[in-house]
Amino acid sequence: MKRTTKAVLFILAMAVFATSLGYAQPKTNLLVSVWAGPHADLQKRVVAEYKKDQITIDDVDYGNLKPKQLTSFQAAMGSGNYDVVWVNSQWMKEYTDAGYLLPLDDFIKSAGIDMGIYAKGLLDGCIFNGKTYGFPTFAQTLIIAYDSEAFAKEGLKAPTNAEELVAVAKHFKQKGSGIALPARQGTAAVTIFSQLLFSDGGDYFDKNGKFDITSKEAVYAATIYDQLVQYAVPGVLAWHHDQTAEAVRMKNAPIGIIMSGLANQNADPDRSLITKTVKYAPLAGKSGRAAATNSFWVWAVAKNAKNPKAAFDFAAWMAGPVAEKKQTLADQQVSAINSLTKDPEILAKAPFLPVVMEQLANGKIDPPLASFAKFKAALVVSLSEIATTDAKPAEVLAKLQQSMAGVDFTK
Amino acid sequence: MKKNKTFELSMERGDLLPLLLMLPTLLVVFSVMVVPLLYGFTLSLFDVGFGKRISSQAFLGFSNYIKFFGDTTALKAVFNTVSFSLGAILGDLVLGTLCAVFLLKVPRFLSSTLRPIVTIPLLISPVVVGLTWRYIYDPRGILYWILGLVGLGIEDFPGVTSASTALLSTVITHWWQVTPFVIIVVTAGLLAIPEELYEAARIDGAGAFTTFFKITLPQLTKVYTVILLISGVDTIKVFDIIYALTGGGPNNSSISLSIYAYSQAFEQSDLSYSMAISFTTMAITFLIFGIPFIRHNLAKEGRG
Repeated sequence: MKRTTKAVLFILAMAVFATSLGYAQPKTNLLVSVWAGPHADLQKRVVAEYKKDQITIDDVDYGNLKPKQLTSFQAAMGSGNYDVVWVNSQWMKEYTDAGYLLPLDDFIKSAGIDMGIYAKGLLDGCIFNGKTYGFPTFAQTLIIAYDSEAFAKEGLKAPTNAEELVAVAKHFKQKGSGIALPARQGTAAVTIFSQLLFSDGGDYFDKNGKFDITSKEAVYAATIYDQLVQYAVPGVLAWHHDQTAEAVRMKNAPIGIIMSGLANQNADPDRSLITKTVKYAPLAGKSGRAAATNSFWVWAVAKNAKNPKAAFDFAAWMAGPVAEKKQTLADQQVSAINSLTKDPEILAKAPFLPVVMEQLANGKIDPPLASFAKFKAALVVSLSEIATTDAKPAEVLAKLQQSMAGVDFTK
Repeated sequence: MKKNKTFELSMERGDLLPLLLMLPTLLVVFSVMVVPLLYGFTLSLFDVGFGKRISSQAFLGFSNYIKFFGDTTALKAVFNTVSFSLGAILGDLVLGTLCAVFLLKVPRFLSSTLRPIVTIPLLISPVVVGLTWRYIYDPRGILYWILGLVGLGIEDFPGVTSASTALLSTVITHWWQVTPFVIIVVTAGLLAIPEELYEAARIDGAGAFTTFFKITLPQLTKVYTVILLISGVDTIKVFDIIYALTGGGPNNSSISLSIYAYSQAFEQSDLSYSMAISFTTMAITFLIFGIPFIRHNLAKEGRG
């Protein structure tokens, strides 16, 4: 072959190669906002398997997550803002009202995704004005974790209702310990109160939809909360979820009200002294019925995502059965996919799952209203007052009701 | 008859040179300080939250400022912030002065060893300080272990778990972190006092206390003014230590103006009210620390 022919062929081959490179789909760099913690470390490991696009996870502590997401939503597209956001279900209404999230219905339709695989109660929290804004995941609720060995030693049985729970806490308090619960001024105390309220069929609104925090169920829930704090181990007034779960794990408290998302640590021999003896019970009301304040997270796409299709594909993949099962098996996260909660392989690893599912099935979602956030902030302080002073729960709630007189609960 | 002097700026004479040299700084200060400040003040006059834009319908005038003075939580935050500030500065000054004097009196080897050690807290971020002290105040923490040695417990000093001691606990944490700063500054002030004054005092037969109150303290007035201003501004906007340690609780007993402004903006999505709180904080800071500073400077100029 002549040198000229060889050169022409070489140039042609190079041209074909260069053209093929040009036609190859370029990868999108997606910036993903998630809440920091052990689950985020796991998410990073799972994300490493996603080859379609380049994913960067920005995990931020809970206190700063929402401010950072809100700041990102205000930023110009492609200015280093988030493409995919992991959103607390409580923030969904605010985000969708402000137009920060992208409706996903068209993408879902063209991708042929069956949204029926998700628990309806949780999926409903992703739908606003008939449009779907995300995929539910990582459901959480407060449950009771207890050391069965300590109970057997004292001849006690697992509490089945609120009064038995108080009695058990009182028994252990008299023995020098008590119950562990997150009673620091904050939203964790509100969750305990809400779960007790919902468990007995109560609500923040009466039958006519009028705001009422002085109902007998509400007063009962506040009274139980007050008694539990009285019979708690010292220091709970400064504890949030992490310290509470740690106290139970390290046998500082034989029983505690812990967040289900932290229950997996009880089985970790490096972190727990109750790996073999831990058992779980629902946080029930007076009647023995237990209901959660349904709290979960949502994989959503930011309106200012630079490549909405790529962002959707990633969100759908992360919330899909394969990635969800991996996370549930690895970290015992409570998935929103119905079939996973019945998976024997998962049940063997997450013994608390039946308790969680029982509570979630009866659960309610807090009204996603701006006015409700105002009430919740006030309830945080009222519950702190109940826990730290001699004020009677009924009187504190009456005062709270009065302070909410000017609030429009339709907005 | 005298001619009126005309004010003319000449490029040739270089009259504009100082202005030109200052222009970059002025532009930076204007764009990063004045513009955001004016924007923030504008926001405080409207009903604006995340996702809500400024519009004529959202104009509230000074309603947010009026609301502030009728808001019990805001007033509690003012009280807590001022209490924190006064308690923190007082402790910083007393402890810092005592430690600085002590470190000057001990043998040189000991003071050279101790001085770098005591400055360590100054190098730690206030959030980390808050989180560290959360463990110190935990019933299983070192504080209650030490108290236990003398027969005291959480019932005697409930720390961050009681409304009566939560603010004091945050002030103690602040002392731990900021006293080293005072030690450094006061030490510099002490070393600048002429030795002749002490010598004269000794000849006159003045005791240690008389010398301290008649010579040392008056000579440190300028140093204290600087500390007072820096610490004053620093403590009145306190956020991180309290946020990490108590979150403002229990029962809002340690809530500060900055924490309240933060919660209004990021938990209630009420940016306007948050801005009104921030501007009120700024006004309070100016009243407490700004005016005395101006008066001090004017008096100094008068003396000069």
